[in-house]
Amino acid sequence: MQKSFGRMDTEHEDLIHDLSYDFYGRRLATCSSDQKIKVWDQTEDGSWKLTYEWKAHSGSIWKVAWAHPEFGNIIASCSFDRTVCIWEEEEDNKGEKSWKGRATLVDSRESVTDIKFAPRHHGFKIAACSLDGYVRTYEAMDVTNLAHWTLSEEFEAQKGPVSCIAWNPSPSDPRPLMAVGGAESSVKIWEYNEMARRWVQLETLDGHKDSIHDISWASTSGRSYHLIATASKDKKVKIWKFTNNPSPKTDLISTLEGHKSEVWRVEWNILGTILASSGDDGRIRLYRTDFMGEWKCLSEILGDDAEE
Amino acid sequence: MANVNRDAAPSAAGAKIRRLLDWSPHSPNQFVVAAADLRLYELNVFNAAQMKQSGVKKVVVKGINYEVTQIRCVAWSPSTSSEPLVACGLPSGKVVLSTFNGSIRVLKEFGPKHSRACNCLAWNPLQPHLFATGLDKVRSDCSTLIWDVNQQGISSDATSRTTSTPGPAAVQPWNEYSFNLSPTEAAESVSTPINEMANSEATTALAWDPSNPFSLVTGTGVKWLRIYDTRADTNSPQSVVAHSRSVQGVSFDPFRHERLATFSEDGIIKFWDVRNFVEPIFSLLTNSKGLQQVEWCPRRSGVLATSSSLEKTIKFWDIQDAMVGQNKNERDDFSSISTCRPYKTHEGSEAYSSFSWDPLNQHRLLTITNNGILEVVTLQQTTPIKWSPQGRLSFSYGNKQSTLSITPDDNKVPTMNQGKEEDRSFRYASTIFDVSVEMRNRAKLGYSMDIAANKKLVESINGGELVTLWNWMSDYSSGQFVSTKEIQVEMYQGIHSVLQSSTASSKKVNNTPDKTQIFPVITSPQRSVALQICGWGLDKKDSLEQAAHKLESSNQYERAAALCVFHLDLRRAIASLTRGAQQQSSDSKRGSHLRLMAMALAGCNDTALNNGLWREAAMDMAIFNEIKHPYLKACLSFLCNDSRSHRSVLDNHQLSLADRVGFACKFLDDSELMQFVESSIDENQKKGNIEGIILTGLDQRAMEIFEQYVNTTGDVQTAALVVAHLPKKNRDQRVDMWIRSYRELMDVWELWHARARFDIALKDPIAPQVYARCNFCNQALAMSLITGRGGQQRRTPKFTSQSTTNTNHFQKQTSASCPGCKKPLPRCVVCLLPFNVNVPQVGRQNQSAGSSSGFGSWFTWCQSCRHGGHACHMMEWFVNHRECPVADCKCTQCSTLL
Repeated sequence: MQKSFGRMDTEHEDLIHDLSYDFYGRRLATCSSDQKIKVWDQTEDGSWKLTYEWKAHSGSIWKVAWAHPEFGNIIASCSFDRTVCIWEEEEDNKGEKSWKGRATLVDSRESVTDIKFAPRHHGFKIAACSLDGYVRTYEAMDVTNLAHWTLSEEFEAQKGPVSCIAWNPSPSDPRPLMAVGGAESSVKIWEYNEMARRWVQLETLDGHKDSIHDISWASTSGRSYHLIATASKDKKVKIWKFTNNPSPKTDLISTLEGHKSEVWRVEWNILGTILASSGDDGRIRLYRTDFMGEWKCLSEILGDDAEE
Repeated sequence: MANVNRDAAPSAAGAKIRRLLDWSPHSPNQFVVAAADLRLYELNVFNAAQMKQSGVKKVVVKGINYEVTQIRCVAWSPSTSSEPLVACGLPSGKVVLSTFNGSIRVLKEFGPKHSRACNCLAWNPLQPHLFATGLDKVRSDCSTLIWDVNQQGISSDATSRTTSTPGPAAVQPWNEYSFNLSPTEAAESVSTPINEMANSEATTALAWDPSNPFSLVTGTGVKWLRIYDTRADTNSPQSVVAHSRSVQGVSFDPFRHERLATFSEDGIIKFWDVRNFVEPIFSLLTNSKGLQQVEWCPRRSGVLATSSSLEKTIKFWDIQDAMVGQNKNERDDFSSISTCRPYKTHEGSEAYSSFSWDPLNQHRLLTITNNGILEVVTLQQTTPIKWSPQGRLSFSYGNKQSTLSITPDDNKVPTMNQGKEEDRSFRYASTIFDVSVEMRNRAKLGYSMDIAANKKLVESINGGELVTLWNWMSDYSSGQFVSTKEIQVEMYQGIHSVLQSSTASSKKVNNTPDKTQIFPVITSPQRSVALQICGWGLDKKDSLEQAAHKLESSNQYERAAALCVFHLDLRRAIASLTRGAQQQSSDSKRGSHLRLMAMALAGCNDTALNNGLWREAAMDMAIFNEIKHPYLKACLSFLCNDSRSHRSVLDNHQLSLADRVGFACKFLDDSELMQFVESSIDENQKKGNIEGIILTGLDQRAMEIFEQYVNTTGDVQTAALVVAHLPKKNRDQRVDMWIRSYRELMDVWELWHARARFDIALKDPIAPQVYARCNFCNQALAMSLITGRGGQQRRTPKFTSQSTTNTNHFQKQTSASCPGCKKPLPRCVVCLLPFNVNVPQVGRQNQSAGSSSGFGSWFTWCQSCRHGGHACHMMEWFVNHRECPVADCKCTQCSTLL
């Protein structure tokens, strides 16, 4: 059967937990329960070629993330083995490229469930969250020395596991903002208060009835408000409109109930005009607004369709 | 997640019997269910489309064996024969080797001396003719017996077996059989095992070591775990106390053969290394009461599924992850055992009797409940999804990663339309057309700061409201609007402010309603400018002709006619309509409408308008939708309407805003006009309709319109390109945000040239990217001081205040040394002159293009040894040398930089 999308065999020996595009969408990193990270580069004809793979952790790798290219070719990964690792691509004398571990961040006492690089206007920072309920931010004081990361902040986001974090990608807000979700049914937005030198809770997004699996914060791209999408165990995807000017204000603008099962991931496209979600039913759904401004399901893709 | 199918077998009278389930290791999708009898099923997997139709996956009975009853344990023979061959353990302790096809379905019986219940049964995976059984305890007899299927037995009383009913499948000849079993004979009975062990002890679980054909691991009824070597003395096995109660199950890890798992009713699973059989390597507290079954996933390393007789769930555990957690903890810290959670829990409707992993599909297992409900449990995994900046959607499923392209990638055409009819989801995917894709394409086509080019571009790609926008922009930039002596038209001034200027200016210009006509036209200098902006500056006869002709040539006959009607030139309107009618095919609706309209207009004159008859007829046409086209309708209602409010024209949103505003400027009096303009602005602001900027111009309210436009469409590109034409002082925060966002987008899309052109057109000064400071005192130096190229005079340091006569001369004099500490600044390593000195031409003439742009005198240095000099000198040096020009500096990195 002719398929509309290309499939490629990653030859990971186990489940793929995350994939991540670099800034330009030309490189792809995948991570898996087989404890490996693989890096793929797009070739001239548009196909993807495996350029490097390595065993990165001693446990399942949950997430990978690319840093902004101005810091170099850098990947961060987090794993069940309670660590966050920073990897950098280097070229030897023969022009062979390889990925080298630069730092291992071991502060978490439990599995590290998510990592996200801060938007670059906040500097070279990374946030990691863990099952121990803590969110930690690290900063590379010297961007040329990736071995040295300081744990700049650490705060207990909730009692119980934290499963997902999302930075506010927009440079318009003066202070860093971060949305955090986990076992609690509400998503909280935290703000870094420079006076107090710590993260303070700014806003709570209440509405889900079960734990939160994923958060995606759309890039504002000129919009006068933020769009935040959340995926929850309660089978719903919710879209929130958030403004922080002058005071924080949140409106639930849409609840999408298409998945008949837990929703695992949500992801905005580059402009925040299309939202994709994936659920336990093995389906991917795409949403966007109709002419009335209502969010509607646009398409449904069956993940396992190629199995037959 | 699951497909349920009720087992066809009637539930056994004694519901106590556990239903057992085992996938065939040989033929995919076949499995046996053992309970009161033995049944072979096949699971039919349909593709997605067929599945939608039938709703469930179908399970088909392939064979029933009624002769084996009250089965306690069941195991497929590992032999790769063509026949399904299953060993069943019975309450009598007998093990029956049975099949489904043919007249004889019980091939052989293996019975112990003393009859007692058979607890467990395991085939030797390396010697497929051997199997072991575990029996209940009886005094002075062994309860672990090893049998050889090839053993000759005594033919038993065959009366009960000859009555077997023919199976549903055709009888097949048995050939190439790897077992010495005679199909013609009645079942043989074997009563002497080839080996026996475990005297006076119940065997509750057993497993063969998959890598050692002589090693058998057993769990006993009293908490012992023993490893027997069948070649050696079977009375002294390696033993260890495994659990506090009877060992309910033993199973080897299919991926790591030295690892095995045991469990007991107490809900603890222990993992052992057979090489070091002293204490468990890891314990897992499942918190399940009545743990009944623990199975390794045959396809995924380190994954176990567990079920319990008291719970309605199947739990899935990832041991690999759990063990990592354990090892990091201190040895005695058992807290990690209890914190370990199943990574997945499947909740069913009732307690499970047994389950079995699909040997081929790591995501699938089959379950059966006590009441015989079969359920296919498919384990869905988290499907990570990611968008690429180009709009490709990628996701992975299982361990395959697939990339779905929703945009035609530059040189590829999507193949979605070739999908099959029922493949609905993909046809939808093919129609996704996102504004981000549109923006990227436009940027590639050259949608940038050139207004005329943009106008052409949006016209060619049918840009809708963007056409109005860029037309309006280009009218200003090409100096279309000539300022009259009464009205000064500013750049990008909106109609609203043009009209306002009449009230604002002290010199009141009297509007002069033309009283001679039935439709009084109100004119004023402001209005004529406003009309020009709307594209209605058509007071003279020939310009109306031109405008009408232009519309006609773009097939807008109705609009041309309406324009003429609103300019009260009915003759020209009729001409337009007739021309339009001629272009249409004779029977087309449009043609007849145009002709009808022409007729109506022909009958219209001053007397007709005053005469109620014509008007009534025309009203009928308009009201009863005889004429549907909005422009024609507007004409009729305009001509018929005597109330002069003209609301029916002004409120008709199917007419373009420019036309409506033009109409308003012609026929509305001052207060009505301003009211109309105000309400239109409000409306467009609310809708984010960028046509509205012809009213507002590029003022604050236009920003509101753009804000709403970006919010609803996401098209930050157009907003950025338009507002970038504003002078810098008029830009507010939003403008900066749009420009910044759009630049970022172009970066992400690797449209560097478009980005650079945009930056140049913006004329924003770019901050210097190199800073210099003195080597000795660390004082920052102005760039002009170093390079001697006084690009930015105002950046000259403060100390120059003493020199007021000739700044340039002064700089050249002093910048050989640091202005702070007076120590010398570095010099070019080749010519040994300061950097600001005009570059002397050393050696041969090297007058390339570089020197004309001043590049030759630029300052360059090596990143590793920090030596450097004039760019032209360094380049010349490295034509012939590899090492740094500084004496004794062996640095060879310098040359690679140039």
